Amino acid sequence: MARLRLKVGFVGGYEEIEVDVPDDGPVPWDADSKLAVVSKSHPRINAADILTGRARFATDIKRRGMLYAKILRCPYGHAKVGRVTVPDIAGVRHVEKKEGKECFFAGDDVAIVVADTQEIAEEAGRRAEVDYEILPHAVTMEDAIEGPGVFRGGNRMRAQTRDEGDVDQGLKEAAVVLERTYKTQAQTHSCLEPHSAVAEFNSGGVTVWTSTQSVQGNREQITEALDLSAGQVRVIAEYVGGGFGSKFGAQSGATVAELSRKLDAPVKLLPDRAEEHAANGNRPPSIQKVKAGIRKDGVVTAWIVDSYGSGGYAGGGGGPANPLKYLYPFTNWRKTHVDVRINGGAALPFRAPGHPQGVFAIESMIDELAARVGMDPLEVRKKNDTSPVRRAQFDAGAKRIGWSRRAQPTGSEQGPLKHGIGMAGATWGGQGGPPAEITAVRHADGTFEFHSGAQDIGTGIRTAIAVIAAEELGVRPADIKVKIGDSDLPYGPGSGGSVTAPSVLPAVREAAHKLKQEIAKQGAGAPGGKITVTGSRPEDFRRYRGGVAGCQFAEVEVDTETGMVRVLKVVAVQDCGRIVNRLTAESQIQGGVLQGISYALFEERVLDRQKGAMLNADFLNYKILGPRDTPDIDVVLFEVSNAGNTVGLLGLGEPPTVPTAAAVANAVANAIGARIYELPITPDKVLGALNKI
Amino acid sequence: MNRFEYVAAPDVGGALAARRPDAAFKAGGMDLLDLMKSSIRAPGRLVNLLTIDELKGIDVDTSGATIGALATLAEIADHPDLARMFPALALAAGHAATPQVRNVATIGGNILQRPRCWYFRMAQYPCLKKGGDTCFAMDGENKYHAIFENSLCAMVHPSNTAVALLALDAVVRTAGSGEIPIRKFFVTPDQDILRESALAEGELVTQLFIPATGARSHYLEFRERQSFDWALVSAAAAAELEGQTLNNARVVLGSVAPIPWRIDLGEIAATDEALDRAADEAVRGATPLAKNKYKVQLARTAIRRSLRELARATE
Repeated sequence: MARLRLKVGFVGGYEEIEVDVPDDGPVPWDADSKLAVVSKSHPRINAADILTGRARFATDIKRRGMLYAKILRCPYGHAKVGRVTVPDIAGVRHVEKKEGKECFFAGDDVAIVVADTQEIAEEAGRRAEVDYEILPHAVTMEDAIEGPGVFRGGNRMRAQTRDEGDVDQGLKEAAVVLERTYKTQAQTHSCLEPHSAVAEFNSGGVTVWTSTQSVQGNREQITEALDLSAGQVRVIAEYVGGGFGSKFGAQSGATVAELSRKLDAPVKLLPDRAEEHAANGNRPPSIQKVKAGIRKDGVVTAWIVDSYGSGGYAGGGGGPANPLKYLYPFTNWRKTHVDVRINGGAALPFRAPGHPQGVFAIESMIDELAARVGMDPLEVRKKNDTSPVRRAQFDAGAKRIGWSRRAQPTGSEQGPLKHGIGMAGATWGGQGGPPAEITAVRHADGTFEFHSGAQDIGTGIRTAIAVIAAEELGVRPADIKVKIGDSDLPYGPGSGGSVTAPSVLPAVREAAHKLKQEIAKQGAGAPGGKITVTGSRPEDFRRYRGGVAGCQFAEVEVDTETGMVRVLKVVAVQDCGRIVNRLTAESQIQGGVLQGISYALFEERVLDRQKGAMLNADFLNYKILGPRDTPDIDVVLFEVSNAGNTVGLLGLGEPPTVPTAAAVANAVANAIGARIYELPITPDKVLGALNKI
Repeated sequence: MNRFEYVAAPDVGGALAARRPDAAFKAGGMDLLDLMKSSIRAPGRLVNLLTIDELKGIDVDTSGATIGALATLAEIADHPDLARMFPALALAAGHAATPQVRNVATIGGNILQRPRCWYFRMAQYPCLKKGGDTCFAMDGENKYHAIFENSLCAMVHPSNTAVALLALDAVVRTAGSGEIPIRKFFVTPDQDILRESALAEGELVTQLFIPATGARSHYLEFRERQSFDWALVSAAAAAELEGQTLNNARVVLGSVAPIPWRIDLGEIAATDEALDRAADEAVRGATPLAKNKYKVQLARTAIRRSLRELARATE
């Protein structure tokens, strides 16, 4: 081992730390490293393939003799399946029925039809007759909490309580105590590519092309589901049209693999948009009752949360991240959370699970407390937030948005249009770690190839691998061929928790470093044979800081006669560790902001209380932000030299969507002098808050 | 989507000859295909009208505008003479849906759209409009539903252009009965629960005619999302101007009733006070449901702002 001194920190505060690293490994980059390729802007190395349609998604896969599966789904919130009659149409090859099943949400599967074409499968499904015994349902959390039991074992799951310090003492110390209830809606993942899959059995096993964010996890799950042995399942996801957390499970892949084995033919499953909305995941809704106390000097003395969340019919996983100890390390806090079962589709992890909903409540309350003690909300945050990174970010963001303009009294503008500025802080993990393996090849013709069994769900990891390899090898990213998205390639992590890049890229650097050493050993001018080396993600060595700090500032315009809200500008200040590819880093942050605004203003799963169906399971009535709703987004990449590994980067997939809704809500409150306690902030709620209805 | 037979109509006569009880005329197909995909309609034969040249084109002269039923919303929105003489219509067409949809959607199809009510569009809700015996919106998710004329069925008429055409006193010309004044074209659920227009079965809209009256007009709409959304409330206002007075002033509200909702105000001073009073008066009869009271405020604002825009034009 070698002891090295590394310069770590960020603009305004650098220091040196000593780290021990292997003698023969790459020298870790630090704040003083001068890099030729890393941190510059690089177009995706495969951009032309994506733009021209050459890129192949699971949805694009066609195999000779392929059959098409269609799932029949229950149209009611809660019903028992009676007799299922599927018409005998030419081309229908196989039907599986779930007669007698108790369906717990509208979208639960009732039968599956396999046919020669997608159209025949759909026609058979549409003309199928199913008898249902309709059972009582509860589709809202309020109905489930207050209404009669719908689920065996009760609608409410067991309360979980945690606390620290003494909240009663904290409340006594407070100058102001506020109690507020915040609500957030269910948001569906709305991946552009559905949860598609194709499976083909042959003598050696099965190959599954599927839209997943974990080819390795899917391989294991399918192996287990079909009781196959290791090595018999290969999962391929060369391109994935978005996942956002909803594509870890192998449900689609396992379904088609099983059918393919039974029917001795390739089988494809292509869910439609209604199925995606109703049955393939969502961010769970929440109700957060917060009681909090603040001293005159802005220090929060007590924080009590009673929260409810619903992971749908399955229950579990519905909790909002409130309080968020690594945002505000409150001394005295207590949280009681109850997960509630409702007759809705199951929640799945969704881009920073629990965080956007938790931060909406936390940061709304912080703003209200600040107003009550007459302090600038930014100053109150500085009093309670101990992250030196975020404190520096607050100043950077305040300057970019023009926070001083906020000093004008709320609602003082002439006319119906009011402008406001608000902000919110956020935090996340995403440091990555082992295991992650890389194979690096120098071919005889001098070209380079890097292999990773991770997958690119749109974040640009393929290009990031090329960037790190190019830096180490002294070539251009375009000179590196990258193969990913195949479970037969060396192990790569599932893309969740923003860990893909920070797990994979240090292994890439190690592999590239080894390759360079091997090439050097051969000597200059030596005939270039094929060289293959492997690299692994080592455990982290000493790290400067953990966590991923960020904050966002939003400026909005509210029409007080119509309740229409327009977000004019968002300044997103984001800790990004070391930037690998500036272009895709900015793109991740823009995407996070857009999804956050969409959550703040538009998106909402609407379930009908009469029959339990999702009423807006399409892209007309399930509203996602569009071009005209897109504000000016000012991305401030806030580099922090962290050490920890030889690259020193952080994941950026999730953090930038955490604070957006809270910042928008605070900006709206600043504009109109009234607060909206429930997302999405739609005209009816704004007019209601202004007492205009 | 069901299996169907396809007929490309060579001309209006050919289209009429291809009619049969289970046939449907298809123009842009924007609404029809949606209805077929959600199994609300299952025509056994589609008669494509896009092959009929005589139903296309926009012709403006001193008497008014003659608009072929197959004129697209994009053509209407971008037509300089329409924008000058009938700005309400050009604006309404330009606000609809998305550029891609406007390039395909026709004016004839637009005014004949079926309700966008989500209960109507989902097969498991046998609502009144589908021959059932309940309006599920009454006690259901009715945020986007009607605040006027909603005692039987709370659908809102989805057409933007219908709102403008009614304000502009257009005439619908058909291959059947000849001419239907637009005031008689849209029918309420009380008049006929199964239909939204006075068009007879198999009757084909061929043209719309808007008389040139010299009236000024304007259109605006309020919506949740600025890209690709339905209006929460829209308004087309028209009036002749004389000094500071609006004569023959009328406002047609969209998305508030099962038909475009016309309010005739006659002669009115173009002052904020008078317009505010008129707006308040116009919404007095509203009967909002549990979740759409906010639409009353939107309607009031829409009336006021659209009329004010006509007055502003005098300055």
